Amino acid sequence: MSDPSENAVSDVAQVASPDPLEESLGAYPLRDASEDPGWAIKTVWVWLFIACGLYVFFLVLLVLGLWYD
Amino acid sequence: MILAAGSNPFIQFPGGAKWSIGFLGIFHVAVGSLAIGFAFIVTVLQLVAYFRKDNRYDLLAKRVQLWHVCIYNIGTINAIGLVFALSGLYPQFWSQIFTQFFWTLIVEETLFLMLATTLTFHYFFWEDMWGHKKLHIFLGALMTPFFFLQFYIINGMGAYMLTPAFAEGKASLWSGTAGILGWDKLAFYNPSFLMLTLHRTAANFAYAGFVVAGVCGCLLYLAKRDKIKAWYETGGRLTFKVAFISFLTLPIIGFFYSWVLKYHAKEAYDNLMIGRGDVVAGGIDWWWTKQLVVAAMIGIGLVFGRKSAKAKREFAMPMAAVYVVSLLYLMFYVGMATQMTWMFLWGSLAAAIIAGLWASHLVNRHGGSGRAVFVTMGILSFLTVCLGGYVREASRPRFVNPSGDAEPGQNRIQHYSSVYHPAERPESIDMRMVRGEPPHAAEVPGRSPLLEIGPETAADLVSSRCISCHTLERIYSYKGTDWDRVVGRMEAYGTRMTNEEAGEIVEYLEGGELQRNTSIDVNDGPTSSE
Repeated sequence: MSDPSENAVSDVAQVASPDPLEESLGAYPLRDASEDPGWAIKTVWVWLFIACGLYVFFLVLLVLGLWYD
Repeated sequence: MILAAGSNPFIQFPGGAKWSIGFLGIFHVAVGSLAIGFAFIVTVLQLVAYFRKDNRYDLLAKRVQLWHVCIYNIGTINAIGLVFALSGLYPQFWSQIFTQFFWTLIVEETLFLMLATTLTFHYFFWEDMWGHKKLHIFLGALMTPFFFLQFYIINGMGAYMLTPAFAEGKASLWSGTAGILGWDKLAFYNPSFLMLTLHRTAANFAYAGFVVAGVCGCLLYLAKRDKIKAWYETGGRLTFKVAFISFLTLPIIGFFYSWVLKYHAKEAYDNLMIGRGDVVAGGIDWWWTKQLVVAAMIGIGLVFGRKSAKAKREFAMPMAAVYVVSLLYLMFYVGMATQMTWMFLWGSLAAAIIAGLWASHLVNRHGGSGRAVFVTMGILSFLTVCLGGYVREASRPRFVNPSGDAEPGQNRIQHYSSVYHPAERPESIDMRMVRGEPPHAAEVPGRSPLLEIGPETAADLVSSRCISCHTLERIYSYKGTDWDRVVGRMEAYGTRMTNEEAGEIVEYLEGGELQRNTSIDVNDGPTSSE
């Protein structure tokens, strides 16, 4: 069990210096979609199409592989 | 140049070729499984954060994804090391694997690229995609099906090494398929493929969840601020719960997995279940140690679940679920004991109870916090992955010399010299649950005498050796006459046969009897250059 005096010290320290990490634990910081950099979103969309396309292609190969070997 | 024959390493490695492969393999399993599980845990944490509008879980997801980036790089580099080591030490291994699985390996490699790119975008665009959170979560969630396909493919090859599917190969010789070199369907969808895939899926989720909870537990020891402590505590509880639910499926899947091995990989099954150092013989080997650790983890998880439900903690299992699961697993272990050994039941029960009492003490010791339980389960989970990975690889018949003798240069794992004793097995197998002879024994009709098995003919040799890699159709449709060269090449690919057997096969094929015995019109077959 932790020592009560230890807690008292840590409480004082917490009030004295707010931790940026502690502050970021608060509300869910959603923001408007227009604030996101467009190049990043475009890159992700392009990649999603490529990756999903490849995934479907591999699934088709596996299904075809059930008939042909 | 003579390629390495049989299980001899081509290049001698300091400390032993198989130990180096074994170490790299276990390290890869420990790291790779974690990467796969991390992807799933990150998605769970992000979804909880999104629906609860609570940034704590999203922040934890980001941390886990950072560990994932590190782990993924280490695991991939280790995988390349494994390929290098196998190529140099056992060149015939890849010759055979590529003949059967070239196209699946190409898909595997492409999936590596897809995963690395997706992971990079998901982590490094985290702050840039706050306005597109659903898209960001979807991008991360995509990694789980990618990973699933990746280990689906690698499991086909891994399971094939344990259960090569001879019986199925014989049954479908006349399927009339096209004969694509580099894709061997029958070898890929071998008997233990499904169970290995199911077991690994659940195991990866459980392992990663327990490790994340374990890291949260470690950070709880270091945290000073209450808000930070609450963050790690709830994050640990959430991932612990996800992990424990996945973990509970493992003994049941494992049970059916062992049934598959019993009928399709008898030597491996015997090595695992009734080796010399097991509980039946009054000893404990690595396999049974793993089972006891699993039982201990069930005990810890259930006691922790009960205490959390009692204290109405966040992400606690409902109390009814704790009791139902406890009863279910007690019945399951009794059922397993009736088929294996009662010693297994008593050992598992003792491990579960002792570990459960220890977990109860740890929770009380830390004022209701799960920190010590999280760390303990993280360590135990890592142990089960390493032990399970080791025994599965080491149990393969390929590690056992057919004569059972150690030979200089064979580089066998010494441990197996004391585990695999065919002559002693009949005594060890005696696991009847009835003491003495049952009263109705005299009424049971005697077994019919065993069929006489004649000596192996040249046709038998062709059937048993050649179809381990390809169908007989490829032999029928071959138009050349240089069978001596063809058989020599197959030996170089890794087909195990003595010089006398190779001579018999060549003589048989040169005689053309095989083609005469088949109804296939060889003129319609593909023209082979071999």
